[in-house]
Amino acid sequence: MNRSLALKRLCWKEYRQLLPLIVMLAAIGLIMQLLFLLSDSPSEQIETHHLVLVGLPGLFAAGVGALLVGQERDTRTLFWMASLPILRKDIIYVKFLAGVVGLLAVWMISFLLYLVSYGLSNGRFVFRTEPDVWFSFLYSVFLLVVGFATAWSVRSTFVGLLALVGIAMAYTVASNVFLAPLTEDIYSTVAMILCSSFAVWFGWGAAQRALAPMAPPRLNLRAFEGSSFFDRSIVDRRRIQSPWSALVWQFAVQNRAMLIGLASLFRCH
Amino acid sequence: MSDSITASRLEMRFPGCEALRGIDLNVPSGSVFALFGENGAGKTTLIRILTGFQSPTAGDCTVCGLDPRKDALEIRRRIGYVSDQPALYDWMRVDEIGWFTASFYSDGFLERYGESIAHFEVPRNRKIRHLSKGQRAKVALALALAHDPELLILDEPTSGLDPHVRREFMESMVDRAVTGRTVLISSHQISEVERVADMVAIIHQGKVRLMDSMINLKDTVSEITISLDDPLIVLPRLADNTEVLSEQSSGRQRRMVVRGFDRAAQESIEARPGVLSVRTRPASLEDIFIACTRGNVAPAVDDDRFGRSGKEYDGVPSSATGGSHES
Repeated sequence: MNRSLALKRLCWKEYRQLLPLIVMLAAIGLIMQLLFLLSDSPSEQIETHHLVLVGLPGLFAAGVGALLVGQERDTRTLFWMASLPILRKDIIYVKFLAGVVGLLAVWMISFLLYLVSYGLSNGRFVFRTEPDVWFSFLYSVFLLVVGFATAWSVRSTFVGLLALVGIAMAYTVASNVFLAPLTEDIYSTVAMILCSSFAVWFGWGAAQRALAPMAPPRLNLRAFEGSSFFDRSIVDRRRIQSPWSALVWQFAVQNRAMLIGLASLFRCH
Repeated sequence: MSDSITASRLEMRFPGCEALRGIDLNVPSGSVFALFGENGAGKTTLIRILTGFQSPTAGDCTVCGLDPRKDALEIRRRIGYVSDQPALYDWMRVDEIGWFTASFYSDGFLERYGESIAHFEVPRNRKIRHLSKGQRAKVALALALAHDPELLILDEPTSGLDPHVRREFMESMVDRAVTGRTVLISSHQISEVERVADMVAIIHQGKVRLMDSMINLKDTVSEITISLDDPLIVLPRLADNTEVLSEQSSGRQRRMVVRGFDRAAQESIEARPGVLSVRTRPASLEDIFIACTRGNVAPAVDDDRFGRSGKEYDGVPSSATGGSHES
């Protein structure tokens, strides 16, 4: 086996998986930039064009982990990959690398659209590349690494995305309380880099565990055999009352983690 | 002859369930080894352990002489594995997935893959998502065979395949075994696997209930039907070298699947007063499977009592009435 060839093909696979997302974001960015050009107010135009500039990479960063890891888990292709003679770390590296390269590509596309939009506006909005673009870039990297970490550590893609939103919100709240509100000062930058580094470390461990052989339960389960804990059946505990109650029960149990996550988010809000 | 797979007292416990309860298994190199068991018997768990996807709770195993816990990568290089539900990238075309997978194996992969795909008559330039279930199974098989693995592990490989391809595929396994390759097939298609398997193991409730060569099984296992004039008649004790795999009583008829039942045993039963007739016929593999997977295995805490032969297995169904032998 030629390892460099294997890595190239892995990169090709990730590129093919990312391409639709990048194309879709580029199309959305183009449409939004053109639509905002129709706005009459120059001050509104400055904000909206700037929002698209930093928003597109943010969206990509938040979704790339779910796409490259979560979706592959859901479709079980990740486990087919794991059945091939590939080093676990190669799978993890290539996915992360593809995410970073994709993020850079989306930033470039976003800048390009911003420039095109500026050119088409005949100077109606002010070209703005203030320092907070750098901070937005850092924030998008933070979202990307946290997105990968949650995708590797949480089995459900949707719950992983919820966890990402929760962590991003928690960071924003903490930043507002302890640091300057999401600005480009040195403390915020250092805090962002530290948090991203922690997410990389945590995500690396989670990824290794996700691809490693499943460990047997550590608890001595023989001690529990025959106990009512494992023998209990829903049929013994509940009576079927109506189709509606059965459907509600099914929804609640199936989406337990998501509901807890949503409740926590509302609670924080 | 060396063994491609060995498993010794392999145990796997999950919360509330003992999937494997001390599996002992030896798969000789160059054989087609069939692994049978009802749903939930532990076949897939065993295969997951052998392929390095799952660490066992206890016990040891080797695959191609390597420990799956330590050498999973090398094992994956040397074996081919098709799971019961192969998950392939559905956005790739048939030729693309071969080209992609070829990069992880040695030279010649792509050529052999192309030959298999042509042989299976799967359209090369069609996306996987547009293939039928059977065609997907063929692609998964072609991928698993393309690096000419020394051990091929197939978990329900032919579900979704039409009878022609199924038969052809099974027969191609014999060709592999002839060239010294080993094939482990876990399947429910007893009649099809029966025609090609050299060795058979039947797993029931996490234990190997029976393991022997196909020739031995066919020669030594019989179905005995005894007609009695009184259902309460006690039959003579069978010799030590015989093993009753299952026994059922229905009215004045008693039906048993017995291993090692010989002419002398038949005569001793026929000589018993009240025995009207004793009919024997060679048991089919399906008969043996049903006999081995009926009833409950005793609790795992008494592991030491259970040999591979399963002599102390409770094979008598609860509905059986009055079937008894002298002790």
